[in-house]
Amino acid sequence: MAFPIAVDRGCGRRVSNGVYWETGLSPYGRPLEDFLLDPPIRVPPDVLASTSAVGVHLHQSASGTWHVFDRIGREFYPHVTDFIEEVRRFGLSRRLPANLEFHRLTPDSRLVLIHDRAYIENFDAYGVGWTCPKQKESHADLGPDFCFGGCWEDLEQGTPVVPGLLEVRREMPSFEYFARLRPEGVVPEYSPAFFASFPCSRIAVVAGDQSTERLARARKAQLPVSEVPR
Amino acid sequence: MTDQLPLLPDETPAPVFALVQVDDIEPDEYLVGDPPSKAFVDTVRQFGLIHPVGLRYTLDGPLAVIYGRRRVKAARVVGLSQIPAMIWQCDVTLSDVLTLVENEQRKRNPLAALDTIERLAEQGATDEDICLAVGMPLGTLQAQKRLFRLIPPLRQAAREGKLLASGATEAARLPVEQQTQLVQVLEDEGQITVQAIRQVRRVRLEAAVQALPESLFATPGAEGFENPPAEPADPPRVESKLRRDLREVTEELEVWKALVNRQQGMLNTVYVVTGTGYYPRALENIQTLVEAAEVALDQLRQLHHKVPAEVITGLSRALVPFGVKVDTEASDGRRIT
Repeated sequence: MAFPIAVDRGCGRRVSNGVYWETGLSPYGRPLEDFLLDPPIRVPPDVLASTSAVGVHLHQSASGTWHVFDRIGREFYPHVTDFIEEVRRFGLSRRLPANLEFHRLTPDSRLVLIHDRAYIENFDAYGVGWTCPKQKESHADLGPDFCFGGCWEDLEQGTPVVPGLLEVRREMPSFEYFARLRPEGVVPEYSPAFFASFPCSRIAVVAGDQSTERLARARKAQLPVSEVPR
Repeated sequence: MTDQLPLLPDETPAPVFALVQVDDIEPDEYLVGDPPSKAFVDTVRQFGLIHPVGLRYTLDGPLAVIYGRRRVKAARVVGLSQIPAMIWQCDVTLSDVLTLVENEQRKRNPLAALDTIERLAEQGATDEDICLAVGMPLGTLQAQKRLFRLIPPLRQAAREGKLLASGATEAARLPVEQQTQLVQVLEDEGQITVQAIRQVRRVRLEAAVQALPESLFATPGAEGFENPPAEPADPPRVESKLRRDLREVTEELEVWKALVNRQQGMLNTVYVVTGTGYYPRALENIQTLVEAAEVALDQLRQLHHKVPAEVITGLSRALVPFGVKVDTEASDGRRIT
């Protein structure tokens, strides 16, 4: 099992004593796209009201399993693709509060991700093509409906690759990726939406003066837990 | 055991009202706290000080401020020479107690403010007019106005003290349906507590989460995920992947060649186009795709699955620059090498 690579991420670097939900990368795993939700699912207003821009929340689904809902901050990841492309390269690592009710987490628990720009309501106004990340045949011609692939057509900034085209290179703290600029003059209408759901490979506790106590708490989860160096 | 500090005197001294010279009060550098906002200064300019500040004499220095530091600073900014004050005969300990007491007594009353804002608005005042007149930041006013969202029975409960201001603020965030549920709580229990409001919200949140599709929490490949990964023993899927690889390889090669032609000597930094857009892929990335295509071909060979000739020839053409030899039998029976 390979674990996420500790690099400078959009949301910064790991901190001592921090507790992190990790989803690792592996040559034997499933493609990242399998974990994306396409189309993204709009977040119901009641659920949205319960999530804050910072921090995570535990919720119990109809099956009785508890899941971690995490709203990806636009401050660090202005575009949902910033986050996805980071996960594609380095794996997923999201900080959990140290006082989370870890005993509720099981192998069936998922990290359910929300981004404020994950659903573009007026994507048909962009007048551009898209590539369905899950290669769904039914997404070839959606009409007014939205395919998650549209998010790769919605960058606001980037270094042009070929003059005159929308393709740009977007630089993130530890990598860069390629996508397209939003066509000029289009005013996007976004809805916050669930866009991905990841299982947990491991809960990592970063070494520090309180890591022993944090490890003890995290070990209440029915998941692998390890202490890792900063 | 230490002696307990007597915070409250046996008899509280009565303060004396006086108009005092601002110059007789300790200077701003001794007055802790934020400087007065421009809006606040404007109201002092307009109305003077509505509430007297609290002062006490010191042994041989200027008058010390017990409460009203911001008002004293504003008076200096405006240039008032005299301000109203309550002069207390007290020691430092009682002075500190009075500072805290006055702060506590001055808590906001959002419900009273709401009625006032509503009446002013009814007379045609805009938010900006009100803010300008009373020195209230626009954000504060808008926060106050959220209480307008309270349905009439809850607003009445707030007026009657059956819903405290903190609860009213929370209740105002709820949709009408949930506020209506709180009316039932009011009828049953005679009051609405913050806990009751949170309980109503929690129940609704739980229902909303439980109504989410299970696909949100499913394992890829399980029901709800439309595109499970290809099974090795499923030739049509492998062939489909092969076709995609072929398309990507050929597209990348085409653009790669075009770009290399245009930008001689930039092999390591050149960017290539695929059907899914631009990627920072150079030769090794194409090689990865080629290898994937080889794996797919191998699988098909082992499964004795015959791939259409045009796919094989296309792939063969694409792989030649990389020294990869395709040797397989196409569906039309031709052996392609």
